[in-house]
Amino acid sequence: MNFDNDELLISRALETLESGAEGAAILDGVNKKLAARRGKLRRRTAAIAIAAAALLVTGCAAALGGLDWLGGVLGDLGFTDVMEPVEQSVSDFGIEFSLVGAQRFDDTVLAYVTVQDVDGRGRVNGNCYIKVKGSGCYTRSVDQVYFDEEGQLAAYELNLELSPEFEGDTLELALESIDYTDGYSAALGELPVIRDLPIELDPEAVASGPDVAAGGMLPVTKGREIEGMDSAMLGSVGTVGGNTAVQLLFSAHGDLNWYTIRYVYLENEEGEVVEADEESLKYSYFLDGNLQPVDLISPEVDYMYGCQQFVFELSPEELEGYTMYVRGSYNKFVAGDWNISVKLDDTAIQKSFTSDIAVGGYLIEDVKFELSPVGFRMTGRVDEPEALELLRSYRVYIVTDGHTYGVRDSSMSWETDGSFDGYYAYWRTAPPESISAIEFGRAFTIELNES
Amino acid sequence: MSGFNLEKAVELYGRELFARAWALLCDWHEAEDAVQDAFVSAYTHRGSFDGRSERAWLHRITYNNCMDRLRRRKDLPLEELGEAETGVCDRYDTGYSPAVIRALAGLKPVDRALVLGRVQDGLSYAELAERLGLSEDAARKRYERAKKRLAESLREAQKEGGYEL
Repeated sequence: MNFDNDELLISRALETLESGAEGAAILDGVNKKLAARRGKLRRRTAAIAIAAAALLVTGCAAALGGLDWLGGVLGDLGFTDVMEPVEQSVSDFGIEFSLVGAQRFDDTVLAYVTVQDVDGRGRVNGNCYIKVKGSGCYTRSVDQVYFDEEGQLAAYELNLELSPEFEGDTLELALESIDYTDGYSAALGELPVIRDLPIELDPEAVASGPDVAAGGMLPVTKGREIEGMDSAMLGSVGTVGGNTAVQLLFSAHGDLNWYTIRYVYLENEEGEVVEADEESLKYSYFLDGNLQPVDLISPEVDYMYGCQQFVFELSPEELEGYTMYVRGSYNKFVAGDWNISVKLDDTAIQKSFTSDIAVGGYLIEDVKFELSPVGFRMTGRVDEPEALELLRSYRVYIVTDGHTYGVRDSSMSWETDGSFDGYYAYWRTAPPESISAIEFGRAFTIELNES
Repeated sequence: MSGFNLEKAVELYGRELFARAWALLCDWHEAEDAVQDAFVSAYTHRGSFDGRSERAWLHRITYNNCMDRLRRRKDLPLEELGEAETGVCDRYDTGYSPAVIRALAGLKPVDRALVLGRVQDGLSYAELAERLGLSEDAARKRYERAKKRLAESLREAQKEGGYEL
């Protein structure tokens, strides 16, 4: 491949991306993930035994997926020891959603939830993703920490950040959907696909359909089902600025396929192709049962459908002989309403201090650190954006009880005035008094005893 | 793939896969996760390897893993999450140039995927189109726009003295 000047510049710039990643560290993580996967199988047997014993004693299923049970399963790789138990469950579409424990740490909420396919239809697996939302808070992370294949039950650890708008002490937690498309198959390029699926269009229906000005969207209606695309159907057909417009309507509630449409085109028998105009693509993802947009700020009803509109630079009169083709992929979903309310106990931040941080020649002064047993928050202000970019690029570690642990996850937000707010979540409970240092890669270490 | 040696593969390809994942995702922790997941996938599915090029196979898995993560980053339909691990790690930094980080981060993920796929892997437009689900023409047009934008950002960074070739 011969490079032009732009490509040459980019190629040289990318060569400067000398990754400091060390093979040993990567291998360490790989081995732990493999061990965790093997551990899931080992733990499954133990968990079933524990659950069976509990059923005999209590006569109810609460112990399976309860906080004590989860604490036993997770060992020291969790936070059940600093969390209040909760036993609340709700079912919809044959999926049971349970909150087993939750605890507030200032503006952070940690919770453990389980999802179980009580119908046994394989909609909960070891790689499934759940979407959970809390009222008045942001979702920092949702991690699957356990999977019981036999019972089709998965446990998740949630890390939520309460927004300044959060009031009172009650959290409304909602499971919105489960994506049970196998993630590892997706990594191998085996995500379910639709490839050039033909959809016949009726030119007369397009010509007699609604007509809106260029840039507009046709009123959304339900059309016929599409063979080969479960839970999808045609929406309105008509014209936008005189050009052929076609809507695809996707179900967003219950058991469904959620489509990611990559490429839509028309082709006639002569092989002439008219692609959907990328600039004219329109979405209306949140529609209620009557196909009306849902108020996302204060939704009173659930969204049931999503719609995509494609416009082709072709009048209805020129449409004769063309067939529409769709290319894309889809995920297997169950979307429904699982809502739980919980009153939160608040464990106040246990240690706070300020420190300067020196990174890459920049000095970030007066950074405030607030430590809880589950993570730490770091707030401050930078004058140069590069300083924050460098700060974010470092792997962060805590030193506790003589061991150095990488943080589990981090999130960082910043404003145009240079103020930033970062949160670093731990892997396991680390009482603030046990932390002797916080390290930012090789660049900088804060000794807590000196701070 | 009976000859697959995990340790050797990590040693040989770990760094370049991490660099590739980082350039696509622009996120340290996620890139680390993506590369580790790629090796886990390769190891657990080693029987499906066709035996032709281990490096290309690992790159493809990493690339697909990153694309899957980017897809999940959208508000719809789901947010990404990671796998459980213990978190005891050796320490290492990215060591990337801030100017290049900023230039890459300024592109949309799909545009990064186009530029990196073409400039680093020498993929044809047909191959890019196939990987990203675009038409060949759309891949070409979008690549040209993204390439120009990235090059402009890098030139600006050079002028400001934040980045030297």
